[in-house]
Amino acid sequence: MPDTAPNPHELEISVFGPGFGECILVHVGDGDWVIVDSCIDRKSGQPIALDYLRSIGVNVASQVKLVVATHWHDDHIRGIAQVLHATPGARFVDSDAYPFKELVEMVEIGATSPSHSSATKEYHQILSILKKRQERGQRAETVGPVRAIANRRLLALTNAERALQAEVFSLSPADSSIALARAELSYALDAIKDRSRPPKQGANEFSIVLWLKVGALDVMLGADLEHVSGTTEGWRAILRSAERPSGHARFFKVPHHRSENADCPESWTELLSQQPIAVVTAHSPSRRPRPSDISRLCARTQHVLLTSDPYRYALPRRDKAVERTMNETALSRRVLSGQMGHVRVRCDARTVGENPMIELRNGAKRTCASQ
Amino acid sequence: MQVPEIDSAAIVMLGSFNPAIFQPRWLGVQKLIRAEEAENAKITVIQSELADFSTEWFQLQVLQGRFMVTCNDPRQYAPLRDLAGGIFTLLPHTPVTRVGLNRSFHFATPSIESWHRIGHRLAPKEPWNSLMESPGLRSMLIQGSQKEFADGVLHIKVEPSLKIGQGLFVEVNEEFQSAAKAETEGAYWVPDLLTARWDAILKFAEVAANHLLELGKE
Amino acid sequence: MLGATIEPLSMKAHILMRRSEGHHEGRVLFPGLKEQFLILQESCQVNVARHLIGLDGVSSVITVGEVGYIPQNQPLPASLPDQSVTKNPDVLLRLPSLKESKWKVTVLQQWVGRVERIERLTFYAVLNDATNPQNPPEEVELEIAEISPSDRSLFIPGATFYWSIGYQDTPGGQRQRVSVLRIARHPRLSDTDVDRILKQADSLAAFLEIA
Repeated sequence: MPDTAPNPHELEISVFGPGFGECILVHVGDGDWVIVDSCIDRKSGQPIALDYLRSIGVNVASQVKLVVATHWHDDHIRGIAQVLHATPGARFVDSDAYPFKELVEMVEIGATSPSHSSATKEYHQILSILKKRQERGQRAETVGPVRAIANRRLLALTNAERALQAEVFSLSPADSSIALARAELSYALDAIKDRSRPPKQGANEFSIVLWLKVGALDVMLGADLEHVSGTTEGWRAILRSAERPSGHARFFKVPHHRSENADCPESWTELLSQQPIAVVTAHSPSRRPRPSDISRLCARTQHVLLTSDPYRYALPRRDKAVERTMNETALSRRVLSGQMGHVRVRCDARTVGENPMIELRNGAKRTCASQ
Repeated sequence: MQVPEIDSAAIVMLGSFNPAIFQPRWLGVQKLIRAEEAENAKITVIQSELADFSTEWFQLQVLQGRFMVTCNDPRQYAPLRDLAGGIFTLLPHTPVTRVGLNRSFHFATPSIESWHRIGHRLAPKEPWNSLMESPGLRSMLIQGSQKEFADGVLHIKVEPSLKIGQGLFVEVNEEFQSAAKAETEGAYWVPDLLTARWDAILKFAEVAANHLLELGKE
Repeated sequence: MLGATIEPLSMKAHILMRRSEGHHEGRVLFPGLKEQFLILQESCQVNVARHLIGLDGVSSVITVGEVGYIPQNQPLPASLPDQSVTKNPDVLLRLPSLKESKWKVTVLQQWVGRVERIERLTFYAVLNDATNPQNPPEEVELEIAEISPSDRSLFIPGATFYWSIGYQDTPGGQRQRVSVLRIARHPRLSDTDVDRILKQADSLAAFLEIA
């Protein structure tokens, strides 16, 4: 049976994760979509966001309104330039923690090295796409990236004729993180010029946590934001903010693959509803989430969904001579990703009481024992 | 793809070059090649009109109007791209007007019938029979472009191999021209082009070769 | 077609000939060349003998304009005098486009790797399958001894490398299974280049940034 797009009044959250990389798609009503981060489907070689949306009949060129890069880690943005290229109706959003001019300097210098991180290459392509949009006559105000910072409204779809009113806010990065981000950029720029030290990838505290109000429902997408000891960064900064949107999220994309350094207990009581649906994407390089991470999560909600199991990826089959040589040469080997796991949640967003329809595809699964 | 008897790749550029600077020692000092490779390079000539030398894995030849770097070890095709890209990252003011990316193969065919079948399918003999005795395909060059990359001009050449008896020679070339109206843009566009297109043309050459070899089957 | 084909190379050269009984002999002297070409003349054409250094197997036809002659009893000079003895030095010389490899290489598998962390004797890397890109990335632990000594200065976390596994057949017909690992090399930008790129970046940022 062919897959179809959600109804105009339905919220859909689709979380994709093969074990290395993640992408979240949110239908905010009336056929409009928000794409958060990007990863590549190895079978098609294309960004999973484009593959999936096209498969359900979405016109990506006009129906995608925002493309968000929550932070500059390779596993969050592979293929995002291709996504932006295919969605000329979308604004691009990135973190305002990095001063734009310095960020562009770092990207342009880094792009001269073919072996530089894919995050730099993606941003280099994004800048080219935005430049071409402006050259083609698109209004300057609508071309440049939308810089996300705490409590900024990124998108407002509040026309009275809509089946669902929708707003998208960024809850982070905090103002106070800007000085840290500047220092990090400066370090990265020196490393790139030097080519003798590898650039450190963007820190998680600058990542964008998104709050989406879609009809009667709230959604929080936690990116990789960490829980740090101070009150002016990380989750504490969000909790202490007086300007953040009100509400309790029914749906939660768990930050940083559910590692201890992203666990903020107060966020469960202050920001989330009772027994929210929590989706975790696996991160195989760090072997997250660990069983202890899952236990901690299941203690907070029974509805924990995992995109893929980081302990169960099969080795691909290769020529025997290759396998023999690898076994002789490599002291250890493990595969870092598997199938593109997909958690899809759909729900009528006109009321809060509706039971969501949850589908688990390609190896995605529920994890709490009581489920 | 069937394993070719000979597999080679080349990056060729037209522009305005100073051959005298293309010395193995310079490449070694810039760390574009290993110090040992630079020391042990076999130099044919280095002077103002011509530079030609080779190492274990590549040959470089530069004339005042042409730059070429070639390799016939598929394990080194990525380093070849890095070498050419690295040279013109360091020499961004060099006027480069055209870049050609090339891969060529010499294949053995399983039988003489298969060999003839390829030639006959590419160039049927009937139109020629009234003009000559025993017409046979000597060389065919087809030009086009790839849908995804309309800015490149694609050429595929097919010939009987001069190196392998009853063999097939296939050469795939994709050419790009500098978008700049004047030569002042230099070589800035070259490293990005190589990064964007080199792997793709190497893979496409395998696809093209496979496709042509299939013509030899009954 | 901008292929790797042999192109005639036009070079300025000087030709010194001596007429001897029954044959001519001489040299084509290219300014700057370390070795000289020994020529044996036959009627109007001049063939380059196989003494050409680095051009094994090539014999080319050289068309000359005018040729200067020196008296029979004088030896041919070993090097080029400052003043030319020919009036129109115009020599066409073909150089080979590619030296053929003596080995036949069959590549079975290629990866592009990125060094993630370096321990005392081993290192961890993430491999992306270049032969079948649809395969997932793998993390491997390899011995540092696998890295060529001359690549060690480039061997840092974040470095890219190429790893190939396949067969290599020698001219004598011996097949060897071979693993080749090479660190990618990229140039270091000069301060001028960095300044130029920074200026371009600043223009781009100003172009895109909303006031």
